[in-house]
Amino acid sequence: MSTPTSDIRHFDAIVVGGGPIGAHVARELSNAHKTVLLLEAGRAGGLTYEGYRSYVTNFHTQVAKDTNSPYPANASAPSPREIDLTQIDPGTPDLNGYQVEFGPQTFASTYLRQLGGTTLHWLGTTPRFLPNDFQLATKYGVGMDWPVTYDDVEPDYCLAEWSIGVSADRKEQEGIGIPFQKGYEFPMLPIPASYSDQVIDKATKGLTVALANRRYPVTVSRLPQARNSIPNPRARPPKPDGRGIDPHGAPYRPVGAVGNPDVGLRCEGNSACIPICPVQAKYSALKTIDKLDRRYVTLEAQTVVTKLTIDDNGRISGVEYLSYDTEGGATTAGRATANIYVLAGHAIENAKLLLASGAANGSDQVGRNLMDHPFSSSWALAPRSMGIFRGPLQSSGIESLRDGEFRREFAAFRIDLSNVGWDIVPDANPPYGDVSRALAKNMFGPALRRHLGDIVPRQVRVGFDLEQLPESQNRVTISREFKDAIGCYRPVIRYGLSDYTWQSMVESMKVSRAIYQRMGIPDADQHYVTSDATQPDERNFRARDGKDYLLNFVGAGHHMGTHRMGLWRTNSVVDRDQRSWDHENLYVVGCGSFPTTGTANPTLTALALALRSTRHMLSQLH
Amino acid sequence: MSKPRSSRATKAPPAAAAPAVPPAAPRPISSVHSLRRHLQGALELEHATIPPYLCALYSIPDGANVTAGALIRSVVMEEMLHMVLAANLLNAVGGTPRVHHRKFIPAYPTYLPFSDQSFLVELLPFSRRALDTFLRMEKPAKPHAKPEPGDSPTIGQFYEAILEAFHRLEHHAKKRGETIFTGPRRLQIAGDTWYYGGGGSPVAVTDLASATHAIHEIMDQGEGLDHGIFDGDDQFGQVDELAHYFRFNEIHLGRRYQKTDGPTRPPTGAELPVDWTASYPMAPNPKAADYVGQPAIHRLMVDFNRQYTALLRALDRAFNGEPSALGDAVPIMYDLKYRAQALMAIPSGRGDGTTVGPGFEFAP
Repeated sequence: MSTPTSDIRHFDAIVVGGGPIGAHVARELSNAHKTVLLLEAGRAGGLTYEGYRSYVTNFHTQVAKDTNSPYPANASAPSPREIDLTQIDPGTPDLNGYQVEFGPQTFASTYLRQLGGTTLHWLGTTPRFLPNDFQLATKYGVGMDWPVTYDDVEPDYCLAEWSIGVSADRKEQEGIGIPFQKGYEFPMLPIPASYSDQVIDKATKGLTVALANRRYPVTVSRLPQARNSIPNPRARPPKPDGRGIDPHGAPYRPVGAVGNPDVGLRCEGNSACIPICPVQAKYSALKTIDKLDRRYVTLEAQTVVTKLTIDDNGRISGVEYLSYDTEGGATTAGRATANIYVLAGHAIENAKLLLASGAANGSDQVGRNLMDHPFSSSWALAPRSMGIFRGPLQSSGIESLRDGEFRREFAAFRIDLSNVGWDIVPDANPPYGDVSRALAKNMFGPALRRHLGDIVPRQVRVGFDLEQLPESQNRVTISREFKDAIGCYRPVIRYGLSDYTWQSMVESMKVSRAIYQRMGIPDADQHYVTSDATQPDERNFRARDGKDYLLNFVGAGHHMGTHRMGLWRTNSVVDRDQRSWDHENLYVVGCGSFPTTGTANPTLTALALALRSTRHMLSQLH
Repeated sequence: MSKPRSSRATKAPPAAAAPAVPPAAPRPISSVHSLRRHLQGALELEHATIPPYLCALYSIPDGANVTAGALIRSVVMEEMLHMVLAANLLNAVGGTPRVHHRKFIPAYPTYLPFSDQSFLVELLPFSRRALDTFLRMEKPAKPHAKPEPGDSPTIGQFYEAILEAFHRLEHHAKKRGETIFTGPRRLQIAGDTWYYGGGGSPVAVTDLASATHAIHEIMDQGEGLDHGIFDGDDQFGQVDELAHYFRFNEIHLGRRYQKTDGPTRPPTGAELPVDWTASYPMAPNPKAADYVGQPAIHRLMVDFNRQYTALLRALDRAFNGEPSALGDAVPIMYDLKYRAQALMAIPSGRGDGTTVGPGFEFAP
């Protein structure tokens, strides 16, 4: 326990950021009876049931339903929004919105500064990384190895999946190359495959595609998801250190809405996972924060940390922050101290804060190696109804192309199968767009109904989460020119893709074509790219086959790499425990610690790493 | 084998203004046969509370009366748990729960089965009148009130009588080297795959201790533990939930209880804003037959009734050896909600500003 030394408050640990990572760190430390100050820049509105419902109401009233649309704008802790993005003119920064973008490509991913963090608007897809994702340099001679292996992290994957409640099937995951410890089962049974998933699964049985002269199977499998389904009665929880299963433990009990635990115990297929699950069947960090032991955790929202201070011995000596009552209104400065400091404020915000503090940057890697999973789509009109617009946004994917020798030459990808048709196809806007286009052709009455009933359920969209390599020129910086309403730095971003990823985008088209052919879709009904201002990132690319392709992509919202972990202090910001090489009492945690991106949605892996790191933190606090 | 009972539950009730029939003399539960009849009655009693609560809940438009809606929803989910517990109790003593038959559903307005017929229960939208009825339905027994096997003034006294009978009959059976717990174990629905998170966890009933536990669960959630305001549940590691009566009283008085409040005084916690005008003006006690002259509406009402009957069929299967049928019941319940809300948006055509509503009638 800590003893206050003056009027400045002192804690065992200060955790910056009330998202999933910060919430889990706060939970682990407070469960060990350590005092924690958890600081959140945004508001804490979702912690009451009524507050969360007001987000849902807000979502209903918004015209643009982008990822952050349900959450009230906050000038004191702004967040990026898709509606602020435009194509960048070379040499001229895009100053719209919160992020300052210098290009060459737009960094088109968003996150949310609000208690609960980006898990408020995430999809909840939680695949594990593959073992080879941790050893890209050793296996394929590209990128960089992680300082931990899959086997090091496996026990914490189990703990993370039981903590947030993942619905998946072990056998199916083993089938795509993911090993599990003996006796482990996911806490809940998988969310069932949608009808369209089943159609694609059937059509692609036995299909293989050639990538860099080798053939790989195209296999549809159900996605692991942090959404409530039916608890697995045979599953028993992992032991507290994640090593081994507790045979006497109880099966998983789904966790419902914050403040109304009977609501949200099952995914209801509301199809609004992004930007908000109306019933909270989808995990959000609010569920973890709600259960924090408040005897040990002091939660302060509307508190923006502006600086870490460093003492003569190179230890972090405190945090300085600004707190506010009204958005964009007056702020009050404050300071607090702790034995250890944990930055869990998101890849971009962590980097910003380190840069603003002149901290942890002996390697000059802070803010560099910004990565995402550039997301490209193809879409087509199936010959028969696919039952589109039923079920959650996604329920299955194609995970069999996430690894292979081709990674020496171009990026691997995870394929998402959309349950909502041409949702993100430029200008498609289904089903409303289909209605207005038909009206423009003077269609009405029964003919209009027949037309819509025919055309909308046949929309197929296939999306590719592409790997991206770490590159030092892709980076977040700060500049005195660019500050927000309370005088904090806005993130200044430079971002582009290398040929490793562009070439993969071309390869992904081949995969789409093979799938569509199996589905009996004629060439004329297949679509790969449109040149359109609403897709900010496009480029003509000369591929290895000598042909030119117009390519475009959007962000996946998977920010990674800005404070990467590594084996050496010369080329990484944190060590294998996510502790700063430069400051022994500072941890920088989250997706920013990833040395490479793999193809899996990153939150689950960030949680597993964070749980692993909390054991190191506790060893320091003992 | 228990026969579906009770003439009282389903007989046509007198007009709302008519005086209550004087209560009949209590008949003690003297045999296992009689116990089974009472447990089937318990199923009917628990079920009879659900359509009125659902009407109030579904009449609240999205975004309005969020807290009041959440409170009503939590109560109705516990009533569903009580149905499962009653079925477990009945199966444990060798009975056969029957929920898919015409007489299982009361015709609203109705007296509660096994009640002393001092008030009628109606299908009403969220309103002060509905809340008044809910408070009467969940009224706690006075401390030390005697068990009432027949026409009980409160639900609690009815269950006290059942609890007393379990103990007495098992005691007698034990003396003869027998037991009243003769039902097959496989018929018990336990809290696992097919039933979870619905207002608590069902107790498999196999002996006197588990039977007592199950009955206490019902009574505590409904009326409060030992005549306090909380229900004693600590299922989710959360603060105690209020017993039903006190949850309704919070809505009624527009104020939350806090830990230090007792059962005899009004709540002193935070204000609970209630907008009594924010509900669909559903005409009371809707019946499909009332809309024969409006075929489009009539069809929707019949469709609702068919779905509701399908729900009872699924529950009947679940209570009789096929627990996975609870999985089939879940999407039906969602479907019922959407259908009910669609009906509540349609003008009734009576010219009084009222809308149609769900009838909850048997339509196999």
